[in-house]
Amino acid sequence: MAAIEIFSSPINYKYKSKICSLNFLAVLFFILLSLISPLFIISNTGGYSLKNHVLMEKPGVSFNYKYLLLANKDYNIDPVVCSTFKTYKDNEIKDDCILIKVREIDTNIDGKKDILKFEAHFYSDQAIKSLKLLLFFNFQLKQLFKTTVESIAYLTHTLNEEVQKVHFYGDLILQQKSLLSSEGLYESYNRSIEIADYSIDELLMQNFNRKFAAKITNKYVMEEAGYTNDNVIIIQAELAYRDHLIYYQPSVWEELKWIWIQYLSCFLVLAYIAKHVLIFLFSNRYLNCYIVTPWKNK
Amino acid sequence: MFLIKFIFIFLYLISNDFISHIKSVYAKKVEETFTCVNETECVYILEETSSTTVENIYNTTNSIISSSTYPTQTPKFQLVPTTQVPHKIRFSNEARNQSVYKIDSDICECDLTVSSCDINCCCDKNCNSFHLTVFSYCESHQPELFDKRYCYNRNFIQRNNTPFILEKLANNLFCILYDNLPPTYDINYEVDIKTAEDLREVINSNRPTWKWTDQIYIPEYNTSSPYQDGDVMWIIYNNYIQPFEILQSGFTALCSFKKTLKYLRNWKDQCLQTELIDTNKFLFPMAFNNFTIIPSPHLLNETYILVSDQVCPKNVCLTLTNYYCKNYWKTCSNNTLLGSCSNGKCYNIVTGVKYLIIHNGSMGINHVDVYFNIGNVSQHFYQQFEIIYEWVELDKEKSFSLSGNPGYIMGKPLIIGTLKVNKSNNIETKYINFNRTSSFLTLPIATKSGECNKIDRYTLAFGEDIKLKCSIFLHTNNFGTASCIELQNLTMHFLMQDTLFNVTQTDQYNIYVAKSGNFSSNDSTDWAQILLDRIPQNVIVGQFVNGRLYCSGLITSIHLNILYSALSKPETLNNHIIVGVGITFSAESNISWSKCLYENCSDILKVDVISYVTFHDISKPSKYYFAGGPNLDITLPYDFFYPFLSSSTCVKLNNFLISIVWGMILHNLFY
Amino acid sequence: MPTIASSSLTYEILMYLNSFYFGMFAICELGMGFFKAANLPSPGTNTTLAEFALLFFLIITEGARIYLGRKGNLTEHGLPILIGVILTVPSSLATLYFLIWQHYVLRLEVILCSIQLVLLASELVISILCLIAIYKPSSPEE
Repeated sequence: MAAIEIFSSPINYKYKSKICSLNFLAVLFFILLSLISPLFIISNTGGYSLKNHVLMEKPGVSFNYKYLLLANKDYNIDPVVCSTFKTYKDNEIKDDCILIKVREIDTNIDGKKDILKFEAHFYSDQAIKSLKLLLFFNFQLKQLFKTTVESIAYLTHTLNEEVQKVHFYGDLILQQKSLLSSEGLYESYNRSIEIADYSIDELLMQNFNRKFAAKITNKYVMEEAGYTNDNVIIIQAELAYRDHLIYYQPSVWEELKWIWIQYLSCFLVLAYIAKHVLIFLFSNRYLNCYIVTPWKNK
Repeated sequence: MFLIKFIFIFLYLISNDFISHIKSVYAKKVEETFTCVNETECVYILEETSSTTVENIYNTTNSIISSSTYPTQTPKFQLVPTTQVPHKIRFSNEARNQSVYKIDSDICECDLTVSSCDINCCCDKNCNSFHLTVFSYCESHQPELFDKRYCYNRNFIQRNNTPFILEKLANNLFCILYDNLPPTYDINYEVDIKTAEDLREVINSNRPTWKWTDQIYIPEYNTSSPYQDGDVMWIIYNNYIQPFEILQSGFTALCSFKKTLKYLRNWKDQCLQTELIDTNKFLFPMAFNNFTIIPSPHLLNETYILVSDQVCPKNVCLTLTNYYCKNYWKTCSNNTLLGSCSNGKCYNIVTGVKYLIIHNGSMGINHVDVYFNIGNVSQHFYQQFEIIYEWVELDKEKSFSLSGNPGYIMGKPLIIGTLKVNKSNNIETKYINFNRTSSFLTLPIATKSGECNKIDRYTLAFGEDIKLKCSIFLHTNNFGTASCIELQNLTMHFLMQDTLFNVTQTDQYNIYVAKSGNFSSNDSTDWAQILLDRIPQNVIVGQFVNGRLYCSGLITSIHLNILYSALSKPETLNNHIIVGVGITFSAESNISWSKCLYENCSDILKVDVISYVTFHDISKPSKYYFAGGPNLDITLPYDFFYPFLSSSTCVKLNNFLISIVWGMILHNLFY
Repeated sequence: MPTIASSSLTYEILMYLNSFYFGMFAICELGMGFFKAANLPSPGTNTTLAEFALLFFLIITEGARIYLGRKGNLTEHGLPILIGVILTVPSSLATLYFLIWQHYVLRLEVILCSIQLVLLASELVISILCLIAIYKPSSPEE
């Protein structure tokens, strides 16, 4: 019966030498080289730490049933104001709208609303010249940190012709100003914004200065030219709720997850090379040592 | 043969009979359909007369009612000899669109009209094959929900009635080809709502929804308590107690909103007045002074009610002291001027109102002055409103608003003073004289026409880098060096405000800037001298060369550099101190103008005066360092360790330890 | 000792192939079982467990079948091959279950099970032929 190799194991030679010898220094040098040089390699190729990380999340957006629609006519006429708010600058807001339609649609039936349809109807005895629409939204973030943010989506448009109907289309996104730390607490934005406390420019500035603020991008406006004061003026806005990219600073453990593998991958290669260089040096007697062979000790 | 003929006739008889029978059924059906109210009943009837009858009915009624060219023939009646209905024209039963065919399904979403065929609704039970011929397509069912885990849309496996051969959803090996699960149904939990309580419980309270509009808060007159900061002020107008209201801007600049004055809240605003007519009462002083002010609510409570004739005594109801001013509050008098409007022009109307309310804290108001700015207006204008509260014990001689305490606050004006030298008894004392009227560092600003404003100057605010430009016009008939010097002097007057008078050396310049907003001492160490780079020399020459007027050596602009740094204490980081101020004059430049073309005309020498201001933050980023701990010098007796080790063994032990450690590392790594 | 070997080379090759194929098949099935348990809506813990148990059963029967079939073929004993043929029945039924009757049938499973069934069928035919060869009455010379 022919014998086949089923297993192999190398012989371990032991090279013995004094501490204060060239051999020891050489071995020490190689060990230190293989231990330290990965650090240099990694730090010169972009560093260890992840500077930032991106997470895509679809926030749970819900319309707050708060809005303010300003339709300016001439500067010497009071604008059309529609709002759920009752007072502004301690004065009563006269709600001019006869009909407000709000519909949030979940198109892909995943339990999160995807589209908001907002529609306002009002009569005006004069053509409107510009539109400002403030819609208040609640954003609920869950993945990285749990928080609810109330923010204002601001639509503004200047009409250059007399219109009866204006359509807005846009994506509603959550604009992030700076990197978040993953363990941050962002509960400070979870409060109801009331228009009575501020003027509109203060309100918008506050909204603007936040770390998270709603923003309407990709805005399309369709105007239906032609105007009669007998017919109702219709303002339609359709906002698609979009996914939100959260840029955040990874936590220590997330950093470590990436660091150790970087280090290890460099270290293993270098340790392998160093070991074989040492074997070469010792076995070819470039470095002289006492060699303890395993079979002699038996 | 005979037999076949017989059968044929028999069939014909039967079918004839059948047709008449159906006719009655149809009539009955129509009646029932009209009378039925309950939807389910109707459906039931329709189902009863379904497929076999309904489709046939049409044919028969058609043949009976009209002999028209209705292209009707159902395949069912191919058996009926065509001779019986000779006028009938065959219609092609094949629809143009192959995808249009009758669909039988229990649920038909597009069937939205009772007992009428919905266009393009192939599953509508009211539609027969004749109706179908007019359809251009079949209205698709509710789009199937796609489950991405399946390889194909499940619908395809059951029946393929989609326009596509198959709908591939996923193309990988791990998609579900088919499953053997029982049909799944959503758990549609039906709640039984009987009471309003149940309803409230079931409604998801987390979801935002319409809110009740809040009742507007109407301030109520509270007689018991004296005024406090932020309380609504009250007036008596026409014997009614009302809140003290003036105008303010609303959503636009228009004066459309009312501002309720709050006690001790200074306020300044302007709003646009567009109605220049006599009926606009806010154009006339009467709207702002024809009432009495309640100085303190509890005073009125005690006395006003006692007075029977309803006339408010003077100490309870303050009348206002009126001042009618012209030219932006400059010249004021007590004489009222009658205002009027006509044809969009108004004369002597109120363009600004300023209330100066002298108060004594919780004791209420002592005195109210109202200043009206009266002017003539011919177009829309901004009406100015200002409310100023002052303490009754305010000493106007001493009181002065600081630009920050202790340092400067961003946006506050820079305080300047003049160095004065007092020589008495041969002792020279230097001190800074702070002039209340010209207390801030100012720079020339242009008016509407672009000329430098001779009256108002721009007050430089701390922290803002600015560039100001205005023009100087000098009219001269006799151009020469003298006019150039005059021009230079005028420029310097605007830029430096005559502070360079009698100054021949830069260190003689005696304008100082307060280093901190809270300048308490007039000691010159607390003030920073404005350092000039040089004194502008009057080496100006005016020439007339080639029909052009030349002035050489003119200095037209200055650059003000202000060094500041943050205060060292971390708790007052918002405050800054001025470290140094310097003025750099622009290089002497030659400026030329064209000579005027006509005789005896005056030349206009125009120079642009530009002033630049730059603030330099020279504060270093603050670093925290900790004071070192106390030094503990504990020394052991030199032979303290004697019993344990001698010096030689210690070294050996260390060697031993090192070798063990390295040995372990070596072993672990390489073997 | 018969001079003419009645063991079938084709059967041996098929069995050898099948042993490797089945190893791969079992691992893939196991993986897909985990995939289904993790990713797809579970029809119930019991059914999931039952499917795993059936897979386990299949591994045992199939392993036994291959082992016995090869042994019988090489040693030219009829009995192990016979047991192998009998074991083909539960084996193919279990494979059929994975092909048709299990709760979620993935495309990969269809492919793998079909190949396995083809192998089973061909082995059945060849093993019967092999049995005939073994139990054939010996030649009159012997």
